[in-house]
Amino acid sequence: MDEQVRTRVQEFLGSVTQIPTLPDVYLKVKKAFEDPSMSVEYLSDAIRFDQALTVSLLRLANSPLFGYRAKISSINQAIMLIGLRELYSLVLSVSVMGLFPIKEDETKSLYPAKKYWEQSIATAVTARSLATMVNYPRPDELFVAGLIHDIGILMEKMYLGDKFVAICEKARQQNKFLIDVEAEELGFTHAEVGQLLTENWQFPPLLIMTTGHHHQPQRIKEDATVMDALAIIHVAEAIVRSLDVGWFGDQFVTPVDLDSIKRLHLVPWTDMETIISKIEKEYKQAIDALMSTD
Amino acid sequence: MATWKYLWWELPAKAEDVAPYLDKKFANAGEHVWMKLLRTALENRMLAAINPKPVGSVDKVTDNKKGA
Repeated sequence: MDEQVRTRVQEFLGSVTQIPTLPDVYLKVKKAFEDPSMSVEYLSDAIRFDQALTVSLLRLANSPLFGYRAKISSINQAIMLIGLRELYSLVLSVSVMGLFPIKEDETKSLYPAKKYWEQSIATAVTARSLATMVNYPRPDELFVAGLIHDIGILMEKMYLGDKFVAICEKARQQNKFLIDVEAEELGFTHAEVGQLLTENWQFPPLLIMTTGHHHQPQRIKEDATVMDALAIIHVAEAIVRSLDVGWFGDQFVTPVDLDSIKRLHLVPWTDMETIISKIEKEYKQAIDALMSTD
Repeated sequence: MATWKYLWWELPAKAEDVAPYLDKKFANAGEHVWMKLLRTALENRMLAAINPKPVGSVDKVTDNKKGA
């Protein structure tokens, strides 16, 4: 990221009196993930202490979306069956969603949080499907990457107030991508906000990269796994935009970077409709698991 | 289909609205064949949603062939 842009984003985040912080339980799970000597009991106790997180995690783990055959009824069981890496992804997903709750009075907003989360969840399941198709080694990692890839938009929405509304209005009036109007009006974009925010949260480097560079993967030179992940999130967003699921701040389908298509060996799919149907089915399962108010 | 205040263009309700809607939506999407396939898939889905085939129509044709 250009240093001047980084400074501007830092000034924006610095003006936010209280940047959302992730719950302690996330930090404990992260610590356990990074330290293989940490006991299952320590981790289990840490999660159980947070009842809301426990309920959300068990609901997500038992969703058909993840396809675990056994009914998972305790965190201990979840750790044993799911494994630490995937559990970490699930905790991260639920924790971030908890920071930006949906408010019922937003249905007439220019950018309702509910629609934001719908597009994020759709990008998450699409990225996971693409990852499986192209044999990416850890598809669940890209579920999280898709879920948080536009988190910078939520920060702008929450903390720029009328300025963000004006940006949305300008994008609409001039038929532009939201990201282009952000760059014109703010001197930075939601991708750059997301990058610094995820840096602040000390997220894994791959998630920082996919959040910060999913619009222009061609500008990045990283190792093959990161480049594959970037390409997948980039293509996933284009597919979800085309489906009119949720809301990205503008209604255009983004042009897909040709190198990303080549990298993923996405030859023209003759079964595009089948793939879209699969994405829609998984999207409904994910909405049930992540946005249900039961 | 729901129409939200934030949407720029209403989702097409009639078959003749589908192509103009997708023209606007894909205006900046580039010319790659992959994007064209995506657009075609969406067009087919939208048209099918607007004008679903009558229930049983396929079976009827199949039955006729069997009987012929």
